[in-house]
Amino acid sequence: MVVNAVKPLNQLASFLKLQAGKITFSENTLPTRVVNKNSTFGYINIVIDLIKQANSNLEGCTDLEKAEVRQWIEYAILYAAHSELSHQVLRELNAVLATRTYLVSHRLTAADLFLYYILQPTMENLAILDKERFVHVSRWFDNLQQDSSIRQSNKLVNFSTLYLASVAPARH
Amino acid sequence: MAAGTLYTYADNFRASKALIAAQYSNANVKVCPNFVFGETNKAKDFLKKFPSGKVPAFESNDGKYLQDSNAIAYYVANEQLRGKSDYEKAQVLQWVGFGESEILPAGCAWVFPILGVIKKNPAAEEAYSRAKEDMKAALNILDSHLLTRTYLVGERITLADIVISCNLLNLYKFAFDPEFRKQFINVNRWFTTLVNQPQFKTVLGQVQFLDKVAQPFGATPGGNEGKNKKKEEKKEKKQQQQQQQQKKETPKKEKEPAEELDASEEALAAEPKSKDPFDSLPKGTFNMDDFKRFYSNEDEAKSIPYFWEKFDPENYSIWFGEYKYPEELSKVFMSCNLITGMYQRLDKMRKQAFASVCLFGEDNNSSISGIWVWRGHELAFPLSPDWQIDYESYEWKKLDAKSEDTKKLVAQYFSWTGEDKKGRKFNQGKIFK
Repeated sequence: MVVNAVKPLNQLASFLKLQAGKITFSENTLPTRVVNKNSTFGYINIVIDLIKQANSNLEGCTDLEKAEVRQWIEYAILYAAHSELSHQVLRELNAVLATRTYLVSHRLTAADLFLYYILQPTMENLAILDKERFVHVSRWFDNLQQDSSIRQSNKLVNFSTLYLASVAPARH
Repeated sequence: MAAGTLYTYADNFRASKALIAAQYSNANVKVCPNFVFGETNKAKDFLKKFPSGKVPAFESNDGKYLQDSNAIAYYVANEQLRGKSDYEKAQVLQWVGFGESEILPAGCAWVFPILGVIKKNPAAEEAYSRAKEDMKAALNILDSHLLTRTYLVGERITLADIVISCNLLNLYKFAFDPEFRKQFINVNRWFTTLVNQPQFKTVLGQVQFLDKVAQPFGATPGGNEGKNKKKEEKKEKKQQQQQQQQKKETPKKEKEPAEELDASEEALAAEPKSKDPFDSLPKGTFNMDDFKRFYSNEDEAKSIPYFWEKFDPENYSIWFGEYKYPEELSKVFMSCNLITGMYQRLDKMRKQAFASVCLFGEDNNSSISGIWVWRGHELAFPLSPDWQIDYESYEWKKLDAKSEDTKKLVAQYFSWTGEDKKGRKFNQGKIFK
């Protein structure tokens, strides 16, 4: 698992205007969230708990949307959270986002939010050429980070060199 | 906040800009309910408020008047849509201008011949052949802009998105075939996202993209222009009248392309409103969609009994339609085009109707006939002027749903077997679903 797995949870909670509670996470124990003396165990469970608690349509409106949102959260934890897989993840996401503005449906859902928080360190450290290579991910990420309530204290990742793409369109 | 009345005919993409903007800003914009195109906007008191007599036109509740769709949309919008900084506002204006000068002219030259609102003439044909290239150039600019951006200005939906997507609306619905669309994935993504926003959907409904190649000037592949003649003549007459009218209004001005667009727009407005003409008839228990699905997925041995089990003779009827002029039929493929062309023109009937039309015989010796099922007990075609192009070339006979003969006919046509009255063998069938 990636080093800082707690931060995305705290950020998600803060965006949803929820109390993050005490989240503990270590090599040998199950991730645990304690809030008001109630405990939730397991990483995915904590994420889904947060989303459900927020009671917004970020969870997805239809059953299909809800299932898709969960699928992306699982993907975020199993793959995107592992920095050694970052290129594979970016490649896969890039293919998905070529034809989509958001991951699920046609609006922002918890899938976008959570993946955004998970990918923040990856994107911060991405080389300019890779930002260009995964241009659809870059575009999606930039759209999210421009909302200050989503971005919170995260560094604004610079994609501005991408203007090269419109001057001399590369084949993507 | 802006509140007032919008004067427009139904399904006017220009008016949609203002209505969508109002959805975002919660401005109270009502569409004038008893607006009649060509009457309301030519009336004296209307012209006093809006001298050009063009629509959409907006009258605010506190007595302000505005014309031009983009101006109205701007007025009823909110800060987010107009742009937050001066730079964003300027960018929005820049794209509005792009939409009007780069997209709309080529768009109209492309889509109006397809919708049949301008008749075939050398100028229109030339414009049509140029339109595709002009549109490609404009879309390329848009596509590379949207490669790195989600929306046109400032990463959020603004008037720029609303205006340009509305200008592209009829093109996605009627002109851009799948092959053409493929070149512009970023524009497609952006457009799809927009028209699926609840604020857009409320105004536009579900937007269906074109799934085939559109034919201009009322032609269908294989050609049966004669069938469209009547409609065209009607349109021609109307247009002549309009042109005369325009001549009176602007006696010295050269006829500009912009005017031509207005004339065709007027014809567009005269097109029937897109309400389902079957709505006035009781729904009954027969579920057309279920049957079509079953028919497509199952063998006729199962689907024909299914049809009789579900069929609701109270509210639905079965008809036999036979082409009146079999001696005019020559090549088989042309006859098939005649059938599919008819299906295309009856597009809006699909929801409440099903048909299996068969061609019997071979080149220069063939006949066309078919079994039709639709809601209601009367001939469905007079319900909508859209549907009246072909049906008079067919002899229609209502079938008694209870008789054995009908069952035999239905079985024969649904399973594409047998022969016609003169013993010509089944050749090809087409399903209307």
